[in-house]
Amino acid sequence: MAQEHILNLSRVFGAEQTENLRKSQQLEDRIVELYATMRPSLLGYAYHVVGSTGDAEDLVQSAFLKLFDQLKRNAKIENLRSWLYRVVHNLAIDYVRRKGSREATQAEWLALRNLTDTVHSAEHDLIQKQRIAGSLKALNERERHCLMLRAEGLSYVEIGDVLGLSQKSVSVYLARGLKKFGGAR
Amino acid sequence: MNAPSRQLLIPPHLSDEKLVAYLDAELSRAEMDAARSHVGSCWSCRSRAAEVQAGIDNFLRARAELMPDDSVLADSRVEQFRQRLARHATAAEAELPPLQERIEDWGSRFRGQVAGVFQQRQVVLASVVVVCLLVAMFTDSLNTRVSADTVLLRAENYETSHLPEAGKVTRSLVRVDRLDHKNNVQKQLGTLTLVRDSVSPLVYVSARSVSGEVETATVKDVKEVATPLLHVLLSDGNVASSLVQYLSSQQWVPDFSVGEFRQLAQWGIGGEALARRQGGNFELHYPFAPNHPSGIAETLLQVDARDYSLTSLSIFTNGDDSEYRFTRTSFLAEPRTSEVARLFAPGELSKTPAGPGRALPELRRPVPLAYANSHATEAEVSVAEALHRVDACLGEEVYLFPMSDGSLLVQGLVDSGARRDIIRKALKSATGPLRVEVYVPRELKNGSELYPSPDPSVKESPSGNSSPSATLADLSGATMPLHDTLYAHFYKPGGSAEDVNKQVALFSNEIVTLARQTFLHAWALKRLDREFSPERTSGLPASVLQKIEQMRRDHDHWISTITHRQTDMLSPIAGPDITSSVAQAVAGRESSDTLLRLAQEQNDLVRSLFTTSQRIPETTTSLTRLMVVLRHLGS
Repeated sequence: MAQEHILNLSRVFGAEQTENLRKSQQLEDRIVELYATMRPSLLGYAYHVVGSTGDAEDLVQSAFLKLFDQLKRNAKIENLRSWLYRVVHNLAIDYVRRKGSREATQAEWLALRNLTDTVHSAEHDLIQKQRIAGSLKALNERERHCLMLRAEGLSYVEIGDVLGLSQKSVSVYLARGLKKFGGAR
Repeated sequence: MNAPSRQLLIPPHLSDEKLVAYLDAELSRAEMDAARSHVGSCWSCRSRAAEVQAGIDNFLRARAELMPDDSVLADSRVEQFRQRLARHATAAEAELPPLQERIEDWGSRFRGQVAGVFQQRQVVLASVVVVCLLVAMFTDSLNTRVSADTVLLRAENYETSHLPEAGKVTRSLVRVDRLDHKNNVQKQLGTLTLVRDSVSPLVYVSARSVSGEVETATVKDVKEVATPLLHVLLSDGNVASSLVQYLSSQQWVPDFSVGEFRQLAQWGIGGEALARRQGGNFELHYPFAPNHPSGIAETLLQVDARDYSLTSLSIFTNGDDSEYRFTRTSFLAEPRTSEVARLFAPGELSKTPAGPGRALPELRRPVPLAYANSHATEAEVSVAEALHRVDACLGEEVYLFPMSDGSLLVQGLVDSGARRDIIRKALKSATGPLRVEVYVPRELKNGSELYPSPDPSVKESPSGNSSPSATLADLSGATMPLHDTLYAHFYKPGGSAEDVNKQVALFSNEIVTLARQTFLHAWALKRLDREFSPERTSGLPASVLQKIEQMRRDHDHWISTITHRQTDMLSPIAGPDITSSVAQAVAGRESSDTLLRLAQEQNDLVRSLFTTSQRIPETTTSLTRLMVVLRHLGS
């Protein structure tokens, strides 16, 4: 259902109807509608990269503001879904790099979050989460991103589009990632 | 006849990536058909395909485990985003046209005029030099030019995107200083704490002056209690009364919202606002009209240029040439724990707004404040010192709570009535309003009488944090890992086995006790660091800070003494090889975090080596590591 909705919207944003969308209010309404549809999955992905829902939310919203600017300028967007994931991905990576040495790195974040998140949960959960964090740490950045995007339902071409990789490389990273993840468990 | 190729006889297995791509239906049609037929007929590839599928399932489960709560994902931010987008669209409209258009515009105008002046080359050159000089004199070319309104709009965006998420609250701490520019003196006046709720539309505010005056309230609108808050924050005798009166009459609160700043700036109407980049900040200057009744000359807002968060707000006054600076020292989202939720409980809501000059409605019952939300007082340090003297800081669940009404509460659970009497007696000499609620286990109904620790990060008490090896287990197959080494060490020709075993047991008991003591001192040190952090103790007299330092030194001293005793005991057991190999492993003074980690590690190592356990550690490695850790701790 959500997929169809997105396709319809991307048709709305097609060249033939851009005239109508010039009116800012209309465009704003469309963007808000699209945001409401796409938010949960984009937020989930951004959260995995930055590690905080507040920051992830901010990045996702920023991506939609960029989309607004793009469409306002009548720029063409081939595949709306991978465009949005690409912008969210780039914003999230920039964000993590900017934080750099000042804040915990991603791997440390995984470890940290497991300690802080589980203050109230049972010992079993703690062990479980620590194991998962350990398995995820075995993956490198590319493998983790490929797996996360695939889990969001993106095709290999779309993943390649988001991360700037060939389709072949995507399948190699996915296979390697799954193997490492399985082996680390 | 040619022999059929090997490939035809034994079709090659699918590579890992082919297999994954096959399961994802990401191969071309021909490849899909070939893969399907191969997997259908090849046990090995079919089994690998099942493994890959299991890997995918595991990954999905792991991903779901690490996902934020459904409530966060389902939480509708659509309205908030709609507003943000609307502001963004408005700001974009107001911005300059694209660069290319501007260049074309300038170009056409320039071409029209250049022909006219081209012949008077000397005049043109002279004008250019003069203009350059003027530019260099009157502007800082490195400053980025932005409009104050744009920066404020972006700051507002930051604000709306940082409203507390569901299940969380945001807590901001604001420090108030007076800077006397005439005499070059800076003095802290007080602190303001604001806790915004996500569940209710309420705000908890607490103002505290350096002299110890406190006002707290839970209200819907901070403006309701503006007057008493300002009176506490600006209670210093040197603050111009006209300023306090004016701000009170306008019900203005330094709550670090863009709205409040806008209001303040609007009252001035002293000319155009000026925005400029200064280091990592944008400075927004809003001048006030000359002889404004408030006595304000100018207000200045500092906005972080990276994310547009507000960092500080200053009010400059005319008469006394002073700056009143409100600095947001922290702004954090934190879980809405039961302790925090109590701040917003319906019973605690202040019903009547405080009018000018009236006392601020107080919470009906004082509640404990987290360390981050309160400032340490002299009384608190003296109570902590009294507890320190009777060792109530060493692993007992006894906590000292700063309360919302400015009083102190010592609450906890101890083993016996005799121990309680010792603590009560020690606290008799403490000054200031203090309540003591120390329970013994049989008096507790269900534990809800006890507040959680004032600092969540050191909530776990060591008594509830014992290592797994301390738990009761079936020890039928267990043995103490270093038993034989110790036996050999204590064995003397002619001595009975019973005596030697007794000595081994005594030695093990002592080393385990010492290890635990080291850990408890490190834990107390960490607690002390959190309880009396620089933020909480700023402004306390030197004599009081000295007391805190003395408590720290006591724990340091004990850690060092005990670990030296441990090292002396262990060196003959470890033998000269290990002892000499760790002799160099000495570092400088460690932070309390590192000390605690090391102390925990030595406690665990000692337990694993000197108590009976079913898991036998690698003794030489563990013993070497233990010696290294003890060296670190003892340095």
